[in-house]
Amino acid sequence: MLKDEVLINFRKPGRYVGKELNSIKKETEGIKRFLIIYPDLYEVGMSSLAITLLYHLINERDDTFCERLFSPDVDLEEYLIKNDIPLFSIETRTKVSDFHVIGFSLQSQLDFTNVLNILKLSKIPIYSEDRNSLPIVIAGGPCTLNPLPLSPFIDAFVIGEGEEVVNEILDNFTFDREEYLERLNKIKGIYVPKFGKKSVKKRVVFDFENAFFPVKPIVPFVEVAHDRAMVEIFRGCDRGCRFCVSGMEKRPTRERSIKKILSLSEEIIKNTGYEELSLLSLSTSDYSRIEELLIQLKGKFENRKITISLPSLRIDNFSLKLLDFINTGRKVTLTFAPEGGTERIRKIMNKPIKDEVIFNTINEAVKRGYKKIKLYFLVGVPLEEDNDIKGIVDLIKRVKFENRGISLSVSINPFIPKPFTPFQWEGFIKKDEYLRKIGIIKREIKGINLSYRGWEESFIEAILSRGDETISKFLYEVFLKGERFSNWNEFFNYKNWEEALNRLNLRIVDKILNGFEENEELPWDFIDIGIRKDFLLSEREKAKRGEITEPCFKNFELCSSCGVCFDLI
Amino acid sequence: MRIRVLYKKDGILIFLSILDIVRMWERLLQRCDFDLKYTEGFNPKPKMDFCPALPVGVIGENEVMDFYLNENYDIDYIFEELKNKAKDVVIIKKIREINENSKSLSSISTHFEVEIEGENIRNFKGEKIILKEENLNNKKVLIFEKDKLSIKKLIEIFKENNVQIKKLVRKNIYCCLDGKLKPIFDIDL
Repeated sequence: MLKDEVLINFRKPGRYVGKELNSIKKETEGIKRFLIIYPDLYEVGMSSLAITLLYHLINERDDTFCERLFSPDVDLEEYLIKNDIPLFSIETRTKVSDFHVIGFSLQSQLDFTNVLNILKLSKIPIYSEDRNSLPIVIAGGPCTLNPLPLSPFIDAFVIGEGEEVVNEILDNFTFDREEYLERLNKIKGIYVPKFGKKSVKKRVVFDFENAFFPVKPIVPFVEVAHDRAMVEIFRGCDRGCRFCVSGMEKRPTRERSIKKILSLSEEIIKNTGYEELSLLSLSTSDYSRIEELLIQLKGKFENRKITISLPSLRIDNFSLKLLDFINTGRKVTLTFAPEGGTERIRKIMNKPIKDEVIFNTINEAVKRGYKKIKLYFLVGVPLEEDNDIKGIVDLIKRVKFENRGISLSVSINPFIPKPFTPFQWEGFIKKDEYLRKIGIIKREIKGINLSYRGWEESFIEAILSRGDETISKFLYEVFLKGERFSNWNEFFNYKNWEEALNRLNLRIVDKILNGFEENEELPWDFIDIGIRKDFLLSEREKAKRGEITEPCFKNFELCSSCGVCFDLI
Repeated sequence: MRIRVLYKKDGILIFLSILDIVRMWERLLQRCDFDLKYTEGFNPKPKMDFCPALPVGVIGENEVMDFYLNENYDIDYIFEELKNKAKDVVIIKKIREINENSKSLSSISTHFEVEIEGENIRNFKGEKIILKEENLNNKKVLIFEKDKLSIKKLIEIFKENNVQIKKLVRKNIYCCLDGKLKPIFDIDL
């Protein structure tokens, strides 16, 4: 076991030693040992609600001790390899291979290389078929909706929400690996690749109101990416933006009551001492009684200098009204995502915001003193024309013209088609096309902070999102070349990926670039997230016609028959 | 009401930078049932003062910090509440009330007493800047003026003299009053 005197020599050593406020200690004798892993640095992983939630949920059980692990930074990694020391958990510095179950939380496809790297550093066979003992390697999170690219490396995938299924996984525990896998295969929402493809239905927590939520979360010592209290006010989104996988995946929408949110928030603040409370959801302004909630939260925390933050605000005056409620005098950067440059393309995306609403909202925000505005756009959306790119240019120019003196940042991302969205059949934008379109924007726009995501890492994310089993070979080959931390610009090395792509020449990559046929079976079709495929197809048709689909907001008359309410309940 | 705290920087805390430690104190104070005094501005933080920071890895036996309250509380209540909410995160040794108008901790010129344990410790040549040097077996206790020698610089000097430091402890922080060294925790200037 690595001693403190050794660990202290690495960069930000506080990331490896645990003992944070509200972290859990237990006797390890005679209980199940679970290790929850976020395959990126501590600063990223400790900002994830999934990690916090599952860690405390599992530790509610007397029969299990759940510990944490994150990717070690490269200086510690180098030391571990050089000295042949296997990777260890934070809480007790136990070797990863001594755990009974290890579970990866997969929030981004570009973390996949880190999954393989962690297995290697832990001296656990990378391929599932080469393992003959515990630990069982499981994976969950949004990226497992299409489990195929990782399927040979993972013993069991959790599809959908983890709160309930994780207890079933532990209830069924046995030391016999084969028996355990058989038992896991029988649990709803679990896919065990060893037993082949079968229809797997995603797990949904129906009683969201009373579902477990961590009110005594760990308070990191080391500063993490999102260093604040979090309370999830609702899950799901009815807006139905056609490019958005979360909007489809997390359906049906479920809200917590104001009473519940208030009591959770109060406890979290009391137990952590945080100065900021973030209301989490996919679209905060869509909480049905958001004004009332904010008034009550404000009343509760007025004397305690607690800031309430509202990520994911819609672009409209209602959002500005909400900002007025929580106004503390501090003017943060306001981030809006028009996504498209023209009303036409926004209708295609089913995010039909009117131009005038965008300008009014920004102008009003600037009048209120918000001087830093950030805008997000997608490039390479299906049916996009050069006119839509010019639309982005015109939009930026007009915002600048009408609001002189503001600091405007614009971030452009290539659109990546994701499984289980109406755009799951579409191709991915070609490199020269992307650069040509970026060029149009760059040429015309001066004097703002314009950033755009590289085509290369986006292309790799596209492959890992809609790949089939053959992509696992690709991933493994790239990993052998030393690729990891692919989410970090300084480590992502496209050469590694390009060489492997050229050598393997995989058929699926052509489809990912050029599109799938509507009548062919898609690799991820065996996963059932409750959304009907014919709904996705009809949405694709409507996109072609520029028609929008209204959000249903649980109003039966507005139901667009996506199927999730009937199928899953 | 202004409160001076004597605490130990030990255990997990030696892994942390001064910024991490300040944040730890902010959150600890915010967990307590106190009416805290905050800094002005758009980004208010509990008003606090600290004695000069220690580098990562150095233990602080008797570290000192101040915080401020809008209301007067019973000092025993404050001590109990702090210890309760600190849990295992930090060991709070003593607290006392101090005059609101006392000089801030960062503006008082201080002397440090440090204890160093290590191999070849005798290689270390007492520089002129060391006021007092006491030799134990494989240990040395030094007292020096902070403005003339920082702990970082001291570590460098040891390295230059091939001393492998095993443990470095700041045992006390003093203030020089009328030619005598007094622990900074006890003084009211």
